[in-house]
Amino acid sequence: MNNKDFHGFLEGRKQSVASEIEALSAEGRTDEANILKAKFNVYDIAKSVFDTTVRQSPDTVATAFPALFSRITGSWSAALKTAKEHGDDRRVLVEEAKLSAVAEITNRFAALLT
Amino acid sequence: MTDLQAINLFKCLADKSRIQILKSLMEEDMYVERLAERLNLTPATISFHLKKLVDAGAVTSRKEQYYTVYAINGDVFNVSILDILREKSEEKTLQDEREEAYRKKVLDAFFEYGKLKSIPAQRKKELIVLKEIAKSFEPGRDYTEREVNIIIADFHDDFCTIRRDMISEHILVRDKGMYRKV
Repeated sequence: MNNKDFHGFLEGRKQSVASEIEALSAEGRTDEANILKAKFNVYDIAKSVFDTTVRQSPDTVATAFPALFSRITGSWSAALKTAKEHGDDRRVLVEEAKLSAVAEITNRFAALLT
Repeated sequence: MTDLQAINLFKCLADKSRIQILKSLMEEDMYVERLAERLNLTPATISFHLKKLVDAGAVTSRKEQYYTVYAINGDVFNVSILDILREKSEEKTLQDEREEAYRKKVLDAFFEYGKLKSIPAQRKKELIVLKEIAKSFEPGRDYTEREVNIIIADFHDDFCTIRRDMISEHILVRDKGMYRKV
């Protein structure tokens, strides 16, 4: 896998979500913009995790990155479930935004491996 | 309308999605899915905005068969802004509002879904938390130590510290091994 491709994807999505945030803010949809910031941060987290994996275990990135990334994001599904159970609408939106980024990232990583 | 209520209402209205929801509700009462379809937003996003509108008093809700239907609260919008500005702000009310806002901020920071995340280190904040927990005790009823522990354990695992602090803050009183809310 070309590390630069994955980096490029993460950076591209970051920029794209940043533009969405800007557009929502400009439109006066401040709350939705703030919720989307949680999604933006996930790409940053993925970048840091990926860089660390490449540095620490360059030969096993294919397995090490998903393992480390899922260790961080693993609890987010449970957080979404809890938020739904408690009718915490804001938290539901935040967790859903984060999980949509996780799905994009893991799918792209898997696609780049094949 | 108090100053705090007016501020909450104006803050709530300062959002395009919420204004669009209100415009839709001006046409007729609606449920979440219908609003989501009209405004091209997800039902979760609509629910989030509706909760804010309900909390600010701008919208009311009622159950109709399987749906919760939302409607504009005419009483709030029939008040003119000039009437709101003409209302006198009493110092006592302002003080109460400030204290209530602070109390809510502390509770939001330390509680999550009814569980205490951590015991506040600052005494003023801990007192607010302890008083909140004390709401689970019936006034005038005697509790054994075990009963007290069980009630507190619903909020936090360190029930010993909390029980002792409730005694030292005179929220609970201990007499001959029995506890009672002051």
